[in-house]
Amino acid sequence: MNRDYVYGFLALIIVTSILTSFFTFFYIYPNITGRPVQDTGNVQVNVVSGLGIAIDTVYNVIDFGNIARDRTYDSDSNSPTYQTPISTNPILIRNEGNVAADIQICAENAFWSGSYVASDFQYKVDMPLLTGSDNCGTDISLNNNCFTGSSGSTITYTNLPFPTFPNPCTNVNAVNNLQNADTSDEVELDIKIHVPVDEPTGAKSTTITITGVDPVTIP
Amino acid sequence: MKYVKLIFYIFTFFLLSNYISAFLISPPKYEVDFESNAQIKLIITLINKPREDKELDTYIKYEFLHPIAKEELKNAFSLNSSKVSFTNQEDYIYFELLINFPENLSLVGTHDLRVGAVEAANEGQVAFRAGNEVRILIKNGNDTIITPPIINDGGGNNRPADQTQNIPRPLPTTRALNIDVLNITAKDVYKDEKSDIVIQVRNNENFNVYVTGIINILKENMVKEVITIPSTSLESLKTTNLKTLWDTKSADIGEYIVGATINYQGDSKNIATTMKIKEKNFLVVFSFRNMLLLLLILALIALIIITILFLLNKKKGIEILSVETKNILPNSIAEIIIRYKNHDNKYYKVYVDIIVIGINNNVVDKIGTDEEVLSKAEGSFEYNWETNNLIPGIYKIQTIIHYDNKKSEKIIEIKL
Repeated sequence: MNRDYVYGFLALIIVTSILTSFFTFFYIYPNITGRPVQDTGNVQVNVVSGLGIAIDTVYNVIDFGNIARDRTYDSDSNSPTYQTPISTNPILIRNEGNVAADIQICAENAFWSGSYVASDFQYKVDMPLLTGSDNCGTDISLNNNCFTGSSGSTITYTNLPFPTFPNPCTNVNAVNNLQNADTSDEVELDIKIHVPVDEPTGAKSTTITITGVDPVTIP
Repeated sequence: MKYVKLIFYIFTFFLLSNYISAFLISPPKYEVDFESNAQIKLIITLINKPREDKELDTYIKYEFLHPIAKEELKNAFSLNSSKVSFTNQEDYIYFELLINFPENLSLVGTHDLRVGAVEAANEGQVAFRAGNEVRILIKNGNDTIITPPIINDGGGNNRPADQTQNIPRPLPTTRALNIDVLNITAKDVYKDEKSDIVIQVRNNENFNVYVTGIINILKENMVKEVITIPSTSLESLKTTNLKTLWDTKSADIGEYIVGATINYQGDSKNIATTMKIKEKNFLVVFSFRNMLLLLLILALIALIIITILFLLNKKKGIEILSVETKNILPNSIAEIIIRYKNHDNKYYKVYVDIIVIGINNNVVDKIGTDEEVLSKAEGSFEYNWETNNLIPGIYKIQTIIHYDNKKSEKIIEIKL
């Protein structure tokens, strides 16, 4: 046989092998993402569901500075109504989990020691308007894509109860269904205080626990 | 001014790139059927995100239980640890909720217990701390959540403790189901490969049962990896293989304990085995994909080698393919036919010498031709040769084609 034909035949085999390999390597197996986990041949990828409410590391405390008796202050960044002595930021809460969450809050101890009334310490939640925060939309109750503002969320200032012995810190609902997508998983928590007229001088402090919970009770 | 701008950019970068120091709790909820005097252990996972040193307090919250249920269940729950702490090397920590149900529960419905963890508060006038809770829904009869009555919180507010909603759920079974965890296998692998973990589970009930599972992979008593087996339906009276993969990329070489907990309605069962991650050596077993890549490279190398050989062996110039003779008889005119092939794609001026050599290697005759242009790629020269002066015997005929200061020759033997 002419050697040209032998070489040509070998070259044909090799080129076919290369083309087959390319096809198999880059076309058939480009995107394997799972393995069968059942005898029925389903392909499944495990994603652990986790609930995770966290407080932003920048907006994590509220400090009203020096405050005067019978005056009202708040931390609202959207529409500050009550003048604060210093620039006061609200708290930024974020859902770091991979499921939606309800948020409840409770005050661990009383902030005032004078003869306060329930409305002297109030809270509400709002769409965040802080540097770097998510854009939740234009209307808190209609077009808000971060949480359900139309029901179950406290979007107007409401009394935050202090615990009284022997009652423990009591949880109140703050946010209904805070979403977990990275671009719409934030909510702002505002505090409004009115200083009782007979409040003694000195440092005031309280700790508020913000708790994330599965929104199973919300239809 | 330049530096002010730079500082502004750096400040903006840090402000916008601040990360959240968070912990996650998993799963977000458990659903447990009440069973008289049953003992149940639930494992709750805390996830360190991102990894950092952190201390957490764990707690059980009875606030959302009806006072009657709260009294009946007051000794039913306990945690194995009231404090847990992450190190910056740990992704997960576990704590356990142990349930010892009482003889009876008076209220029919679903009770909402909370188990959670909370981190330390920051410093500030109004300081905040984050916590996350697992709902433990204890079902006694139906899906309606039983809420406590309105609570006076002492601060001037009356508030509902929770809302009452219906949770769609499958029909209940109040006894522990008859499930056997038969076997677990975990394949030994080389470093960076994926190990198949297979758990054989038999459903002895005459209806399908859903199970979930957690696989803890331990080395030297430290949990190195946790894999969750999602809710899977087991066919009635059949054995099912629950399969999953462990990617060993982030694991060290050595021996591991693979322990699985299979959870199902009313109970859970544990099973464990061992597996090894081996060091890769020269005889690493290639994956199918690697084999394809290797074949591809080998084929390319072979192609290059063959091409080189082909080019090296390619013939050039004029080749004498054959020399034939006809009518080789004494005192006659014989024919000599020289077949040639021109391997080059060009015209050559050629001439031919034919030398007849006797038995003693002496030249007995010589034929020369005029120069001519070779126009064909393949053809023949034909010459007549007078044999008048030759005696019978054996002769050699040497044919030479001269071209372009080169020559191509061939010798044949003839008998006169």
